[in-house]
Amino acid sequence: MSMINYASREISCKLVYYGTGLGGKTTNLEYIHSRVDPDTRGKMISLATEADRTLFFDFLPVDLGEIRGFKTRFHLYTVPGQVYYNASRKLILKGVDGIIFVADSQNHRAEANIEAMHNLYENLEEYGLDLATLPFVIQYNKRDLPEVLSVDALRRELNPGKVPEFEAVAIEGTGVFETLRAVSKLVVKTLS
Amino acid sequence: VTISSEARVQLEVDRLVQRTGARAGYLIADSGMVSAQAGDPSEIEVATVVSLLAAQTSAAAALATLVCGREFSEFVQEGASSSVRVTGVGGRWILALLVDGPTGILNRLDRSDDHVRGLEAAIGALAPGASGAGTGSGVGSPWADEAESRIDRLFREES
Repeated sequence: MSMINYASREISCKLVYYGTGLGGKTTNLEYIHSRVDPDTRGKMISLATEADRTLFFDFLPVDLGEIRGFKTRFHLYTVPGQVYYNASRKLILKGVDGIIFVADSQNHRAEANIEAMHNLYENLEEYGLDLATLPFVIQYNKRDLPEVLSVDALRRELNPGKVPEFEAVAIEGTGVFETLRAVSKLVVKTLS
Repeated sequence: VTISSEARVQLEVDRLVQRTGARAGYLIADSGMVSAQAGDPSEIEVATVVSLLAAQTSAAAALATLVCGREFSEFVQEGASSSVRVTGVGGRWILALLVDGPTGILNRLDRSDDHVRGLEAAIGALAPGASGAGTGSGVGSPWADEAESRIDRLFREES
């Protein structure tokens, strides 16, 4: 739930990148960190293992500046994708305002994507939240790799609700900002 | 004179920082957002510190329930030049007090403290479901229009 602090005139929104392990969630944040205006972003924090697998979360605060008297910020988080880190994933979802599901387009990750999507539904349900009413977008990542599923096939499995969807090659930046803009605008609409 | 619930929360955080002698204090929602802050936060990156404190507290709370069978109440992080003491308040909030030096120099604070009770009462008066000092809709479409155009300008490749 977005925080509007009328006393200090601040608005903060929490966006969470969700999805299967090694799908590209951290890569999205790293790309945003490397390309967004440095004056508008804070430090990126990655709580990761030695092998650079996300252990708890990555965090990147981005400041939109003052808008109509309100300092406005987006806090971007990723969750650890590996199946056994579900307790951590659930904690990161607390108070979420918008979700980006990063799907791995490779054939052999089809089952893992579906499992991660089910896990997202289950974890949100525990907080009384429903993806049908939350700002939610899907990113089909790794479109540059060989042996990827078609977007139609991915859509059939992951996007029956026809939420906004984007093809991406996060490591090169393709589709990263388009995805972020889309979910950010959906969150902003919920506040107006 | 009546004051809003948000202003009352702010007032209680101001009082708690004065009462304990902390350099700065933050009331943080379990989502990792700052609800109110007081004192001097210089030298720290507030959003980052607060997100880590919220995550650490969430993990500690989950561990306390799973392993110890009780609720999270407090933890401290001691550093060479500064420290932080984190106390659970009002169920879904935490109060983080930063101090120059060890946390032992902070005045004692426990749940029976009048100021803690005052803060919990102020939090309780916030809107149901609130995750901080005011939530939900109401900033208006002019704000949203401007926010969208700011998003278009900011969330793109820097040339």
